[in-house]
Amino acid sequence: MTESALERRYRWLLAWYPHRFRREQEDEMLAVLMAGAAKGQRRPGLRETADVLRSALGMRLSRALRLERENRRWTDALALFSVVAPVFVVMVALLEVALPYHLPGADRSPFLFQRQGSVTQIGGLSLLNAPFFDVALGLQVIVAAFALLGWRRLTLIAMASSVGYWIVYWVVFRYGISQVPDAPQLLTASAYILGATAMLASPGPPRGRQLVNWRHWAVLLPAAGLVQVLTLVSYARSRFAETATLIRYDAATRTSTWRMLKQPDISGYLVIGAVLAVAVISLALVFKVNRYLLLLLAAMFYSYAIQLAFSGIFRPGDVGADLLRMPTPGHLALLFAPPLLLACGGILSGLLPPRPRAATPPGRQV
Amino acid sequence: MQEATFLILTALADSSQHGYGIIAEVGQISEGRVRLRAGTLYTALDRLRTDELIVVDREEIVENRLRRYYRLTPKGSDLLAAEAARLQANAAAALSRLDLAGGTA
Repeated sequence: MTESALERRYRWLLAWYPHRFRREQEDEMLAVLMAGAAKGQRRPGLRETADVLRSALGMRLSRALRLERENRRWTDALALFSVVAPVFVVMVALLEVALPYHLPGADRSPFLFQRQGSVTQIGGLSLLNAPFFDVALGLQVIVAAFALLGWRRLTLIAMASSVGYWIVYWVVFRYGISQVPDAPQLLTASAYILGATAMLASPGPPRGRQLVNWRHWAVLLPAAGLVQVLTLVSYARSRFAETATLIRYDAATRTSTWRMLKQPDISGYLVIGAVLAVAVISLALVFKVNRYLLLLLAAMFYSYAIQLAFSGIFRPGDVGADLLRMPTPGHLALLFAPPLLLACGGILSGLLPPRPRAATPPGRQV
Repeated sequence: MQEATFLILTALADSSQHGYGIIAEVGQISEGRVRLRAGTLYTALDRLRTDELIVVDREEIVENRLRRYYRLTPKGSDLLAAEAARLQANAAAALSRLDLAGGTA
C-alpha cells in the first residue's frame, strides 16, 4: 500500500512527539488520525494540526521536566554519598576499636599454635598500636573532616593519600597488617573509589553537607555496627579455627600434644546482625532515603560482601578461598571490577547528555 | 479531574476500547458536546498509563492499521467511581439549592 499524501503529512506532524512515544504509538495514533479524516481529505485541518503540535510539545516538555527531576535526585545522591561515605568509613574503624573479640583462653595460653593467618583477637584498642592502622585511621578522619566541611578538592587529595598509603602498605608489607581485618579495608577502598567518583560527577561535599541530616546518620550507624558484627562472625568462622594451645610436650619421644582452643559461639552475633540488618532496612524505608544513595551504598558494600563470602564464612576453617590471601588478577577483578565499572559509568554519565529514564511517582526523599 | 479525562475513563468503564473507539464513545457520552481530538486523547492516554489508571488490553491489525485497546485498571475504576460520586454529590447539592430557591421565590 502506497502512503497517501495525508498519511505522509500526519507522519510529519507526529515527528514532533518524543522519540520513545513515536516508537511505541506512532502507528496507532496515525490510524486514529486517518480514521477521523474526511473522505478525500488531503491535508490535516488547522485545529487538528494545532492539537497535535500542542500535545507533542507538551509531552516533550513534561518528559524533560521529569528527566530533570530524576537527574537532580541522582546528582543529589552522588553529593550526599561524597559526604556520608568518608564518615561511614571512620564509623566502621572506630567500631573495630570499640567492639573487639578475643578468642576465649588465648590470653592464658603460653604456647599457641597458629596456622598462618589465624589470629586470637579481632579489633580492640591494640589496633591503635598496630602498624598501618593508626596512620590509616588518621587519614580517614582527615578525609571525613574535609568532606563534612565541604572542602571538595582537599577531600579528594586526602582520599588519594589514604588510598595511596593503603596500596603501598598492602604491596610492601602484605603480612605486616594481618592484625587489621581485610574486609573493612576493602569497604574503605570501595568507599573511596566511589566517593571520588561522586565528587567528580556532582557538586560533591559542598552540596552534600547541605543535604545530609540526622536521618542519614540514623541509618548508617546501625549499618556500621552490622559491618563490625559481620566481620567478627566471618573471622570467628575462619581465622580462629586453627588456633591450639600446647598442653604437653614429651621430651623423650619429642611429641607435642595440642588442644584446640574453644571456638567462639557465633549464634549471638548472628542474632545481633539480623536485628541490625532489619533496623538498617526499616530506617531506610521509614526515612525514605534517596534510592540512588542506597544504590551507591550497596555498591560500596560489594567488595566487602564478596571478601566475607570467600573468607570462610560458609566453610569454617577454610581460609584457602580468601581472595586477598594469594590474590590473582581474577580475584582482584572480582573484588574491584564492579565498583570501578560503576565509577566509570558515573563519570561518563556526568560527561554525556542524559538518556530518558522511566518516570517515578513523586514522593519525598531524604 | 479534567472533563476529558473523566469522559475517557467513562468510555473505558464497561469495555476496552481502541483510540478511535474512545473518541466516538466520548462524543456519544457527552451527546456531541465534547469532541476529542487525537492529540488531546493521546496526551491523556499517556498520562493515564503513567498513573496506572489504564493499561493496554490487546492489539489488533485492522486493514493494515494498528489498533491498541485500552482498559481500566482497578485503580482507574476506583478513581472514576470516586469522581462520579463527587460530581453526583455536587450536582445533587446544586439541584437541591435551586429547588429551595425556586420554592421561596
